[in-house]
Amino acid sequence: MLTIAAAKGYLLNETIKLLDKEGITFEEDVKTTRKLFIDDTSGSIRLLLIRPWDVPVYVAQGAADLGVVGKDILLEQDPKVATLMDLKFGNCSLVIAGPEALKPEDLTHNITVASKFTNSATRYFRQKGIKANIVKLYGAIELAPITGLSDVICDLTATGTTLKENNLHIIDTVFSSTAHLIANPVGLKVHRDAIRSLVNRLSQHV
Amino acid sequence: MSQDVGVQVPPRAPASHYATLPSMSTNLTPFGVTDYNPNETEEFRTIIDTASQVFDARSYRRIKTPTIEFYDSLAKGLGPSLKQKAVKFFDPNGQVLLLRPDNTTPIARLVATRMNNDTLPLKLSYIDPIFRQSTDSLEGGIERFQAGVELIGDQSSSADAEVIITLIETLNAIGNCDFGIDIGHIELVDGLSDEKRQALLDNDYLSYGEIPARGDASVVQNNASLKSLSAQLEEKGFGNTVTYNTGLVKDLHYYTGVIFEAYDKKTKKIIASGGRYDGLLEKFGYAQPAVGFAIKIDALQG
Repeated sequence: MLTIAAAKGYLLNETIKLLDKEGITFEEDVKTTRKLFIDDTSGSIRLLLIRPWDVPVYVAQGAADLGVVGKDILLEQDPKVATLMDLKFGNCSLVIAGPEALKPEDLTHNITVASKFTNSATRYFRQKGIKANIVKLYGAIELAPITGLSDVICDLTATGTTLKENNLHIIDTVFSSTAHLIANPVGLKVHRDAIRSLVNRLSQHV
Repeated sequence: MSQDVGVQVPPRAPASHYATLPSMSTNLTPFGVTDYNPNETEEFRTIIDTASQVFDARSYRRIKTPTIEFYDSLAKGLGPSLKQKAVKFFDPNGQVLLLRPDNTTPIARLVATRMNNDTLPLKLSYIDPIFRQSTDSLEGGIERFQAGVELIGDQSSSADAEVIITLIETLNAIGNCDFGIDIGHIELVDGLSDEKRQALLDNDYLSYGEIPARGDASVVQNNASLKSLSAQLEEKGFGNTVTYNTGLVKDLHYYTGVIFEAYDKKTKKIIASGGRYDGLLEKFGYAQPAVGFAIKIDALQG
């Protein structure tokens, strides 16, 4: 049996759809179940239903053989996992956003940046040679510039709607992201045939 | 923060490694090193005593190199990765010192200086810790215990086979895990661009373009030394323990031929690593071929 760590939320729905195309189905509705893991009807796949940020941890530690997670989280965490496939769903971007008045040239020394993606934000400003104060937040990042906690935010956006609702606009894009299939490097040796076969099957639909 | 012991704090250590510790406490060990109580030490001793018995029985003679070395001396043999990860500090004269970041390089230095008139081939073993800067507990902390062998002065693939069989015999004797061994060769990944090589090192098979071929000896039949090695392992009954991997790469720069690693199928950890390094002793003035391995004892414990 292959254990797949799946990020709950939008990516999980897309993951289920993709598995369904290959006839990998589940008796329960995976989206609404309160279970923490669920096996497919043939008993060959176990899905762990966990938070996106925990997916690389489960895979790197070998508790899951495979994982489905956004490239954004891989770039942020730099986990020791093997990257097998770009699944090409879950498109989003990590952007620098701020109040309408702010222009790209306003990104200068001592700017305060609120973000959940502190490693990626730090890397972005270091590459630009800008001394930035990075403030770690865990949610409602858009609130930070409104309340004066930060000058700008570094946050994920898919459609830009939430940014617009909070009168924020995109100043620069740090990177774009899609869902990726990852594997534990040693798990890839142990379950090589099963993983290769699954990758080949999924490739037909990506 | 730790000036009194002269060890640099790793530059990227997240604050969380220190956050819960009272700043002036003197009863704690630094991040990345630890005490062993009698029960933990007993488990550790069982492993190293068993390894010692196998090494002795196969005529590998124990040597010891110092924990502290001159940076300038070892740097001749160290690649960029180990130079960066070595724990460095100064002696009273301002000379840069380091804690040995691997066992093979100091052994190459020792053999090239005090043992360069000894009868070849030399079969040597060691059980000593190495020290590497680390902020990732998955990498095994800063002090990492190793047991290994080096076979110096024999270029043949029977020397490769002898060393790999010694590794298998040692892991079998320790007997606490279900392991497999991947074997590759530097020549199989030699012609790759820096980007492709880095992709293999990162296990990024998406950027690499494919998952490299891996399987029985048929996947490496075009490599003469692996062909010969596989025939010998097969003949001695070890064919089922090893798998040939055309995409195996190593972070250490000194490997020149066969490379291999052992993994635990249950814990999914790499438990041993090794290969042929025919150019390393020459860096210290004594050109001799060599092959060896190191077992990561911490990865076998608990």
